[in-house]
Amino acid sequence: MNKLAFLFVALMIPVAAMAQGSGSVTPSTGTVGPGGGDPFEVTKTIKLTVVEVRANGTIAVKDETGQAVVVKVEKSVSISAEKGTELAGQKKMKIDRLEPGMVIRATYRVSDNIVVAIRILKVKKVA
Amino acid sequence: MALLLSSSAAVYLALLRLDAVNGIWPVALFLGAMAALFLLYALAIRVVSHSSAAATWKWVMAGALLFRLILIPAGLPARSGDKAALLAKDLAGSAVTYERFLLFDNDIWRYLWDGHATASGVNPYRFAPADEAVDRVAEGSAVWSEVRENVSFPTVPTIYPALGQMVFRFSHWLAPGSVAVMKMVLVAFDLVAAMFLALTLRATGQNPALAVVYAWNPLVVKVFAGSGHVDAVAVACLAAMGYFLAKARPGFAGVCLGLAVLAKLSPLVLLPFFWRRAGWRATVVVFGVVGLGYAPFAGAGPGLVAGLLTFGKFWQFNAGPYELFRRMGSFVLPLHSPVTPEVAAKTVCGLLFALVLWRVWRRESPSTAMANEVAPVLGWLLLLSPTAMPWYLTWALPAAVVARQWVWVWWTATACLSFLVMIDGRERWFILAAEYGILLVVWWSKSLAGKGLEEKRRTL
Repeated sequence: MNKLAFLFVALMIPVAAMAQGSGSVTPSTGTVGPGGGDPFEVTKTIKLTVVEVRANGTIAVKDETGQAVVVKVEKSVSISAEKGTELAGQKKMKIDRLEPGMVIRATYRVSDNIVVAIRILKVKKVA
Repeated sequence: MALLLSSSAAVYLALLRLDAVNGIWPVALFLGAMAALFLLYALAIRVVSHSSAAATWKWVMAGALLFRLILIPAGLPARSGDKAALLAKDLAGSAVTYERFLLFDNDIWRYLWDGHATASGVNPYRFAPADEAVDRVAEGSAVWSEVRENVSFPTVPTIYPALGQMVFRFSHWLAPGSVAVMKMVLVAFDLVAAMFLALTLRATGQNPALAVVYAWNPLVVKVFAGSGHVDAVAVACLAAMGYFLAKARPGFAGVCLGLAVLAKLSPLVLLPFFWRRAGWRATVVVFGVVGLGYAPFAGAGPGLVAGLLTFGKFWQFNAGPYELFRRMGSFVLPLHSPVTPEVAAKTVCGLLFALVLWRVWRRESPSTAMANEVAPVLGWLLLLSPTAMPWYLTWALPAAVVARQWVWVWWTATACLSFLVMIDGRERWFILAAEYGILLVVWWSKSLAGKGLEEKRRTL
């Protein structure tokens, strides 16, 4: 009976190895968060209004306090649009689809301040 | 104890002000704080060990509660002046106010998403967060679309077992989208673990205030209150199992082991040891609880293990012996060998783990506390695993305290070195060597000290 118990445990080893679930860090999968970046990379998000889209991979934006800045956007940036916006449902968009006045939520890498993901937000109309 | 408690609380408060981002300074400051906390923690253990339970018990519980309460807001923007307003928005579910990383970890977004998916009638084992089929669950809500974007590995379906899912759903029922409430729910389990540990210590004739080893452990406080990891549920269930076994209540212990397996599948490896102590009836209870727990999600079919299979195949982090064997394999194995270094290393580690199980089985008997088996079995499982996330080390901690196997407590300190990966995303071999090397030295010196005591006893 003891041998049977050991056989059972031995068979459980691969299950246990796979069962330690957590998704915050791994060097080996390519399927990660915003922009498909490194899972160890700390990113933050900020709400911005697009002022101008430039040809050199940068966009001029205004933050919620009205301060204007120019931010660099990664080539492989992932852009999506909220339901109810003009571009909702469109896939594989480039930054040239952005237009002045659009309100976006930008996810940027803290290490170099480069934007890796953009979400075009629906602007709530003030009554 | 009052001085140690207030000093520790001050360091935890300082951690709240740390902007935990990539770079040398943020990580160095974090590790500096953790080192200070571990020093205070070591002193607290010393005080408790040399005092009566009556004198220290209240301080231990007060510290356990206070440290966790302090770290609940960890992850709110460090430089924000009005954290109370941000916390209020989070509790109301009106906005995402926590940063994507909460003291260098971000698993909590997956928990929130899974809870929301289940509440919306979506089986999280069947659909990954990025799946178009679940667009409707996020669309139209700024909060849920942001939570969804914050989930790491969004193309992988959930890997968290059924009890984890129920806890996520419960937290969603309390306050949808709230990071703080999710953390509080998990911290409640963490405190239940501390309580059962104290009860087990008392039931086994030891000082219950030694629960300080778990309750004040800085890594435990950081990973549960600071970052909100679901492992707290498994730890609580395992600690409860230990208590009910100590009180000769095998049926209750079976329920607890079943729940522990439903929270994190790893405690399955304890099953033969449990069967030897508690008998087949209690073992059947374990299977019954696991079956019942998975029943609501059975519709996912093979999807129940899809995320786990991806995890088992690809994940590697903070591995010790596994990484050593993998590197050796990459030198020894021919370039086009059908056996990859990863498979070879997993095989060697699997065999070594089987050896550990055999040794523990032979060494222990049902007359000793089960903690003597739980601590080494779970500890070695992690030690030989390709993935040893720092929060996994909490699994073996309550049992390590009961069994007085301090090497697993030491590992919670050395494992903090793994956070150095957050400097630039690179895992360095010499950091792993330091983490596991220190552990080896501790293990060696403790076993030498143990042998010395044994010889002294024989001489006397």
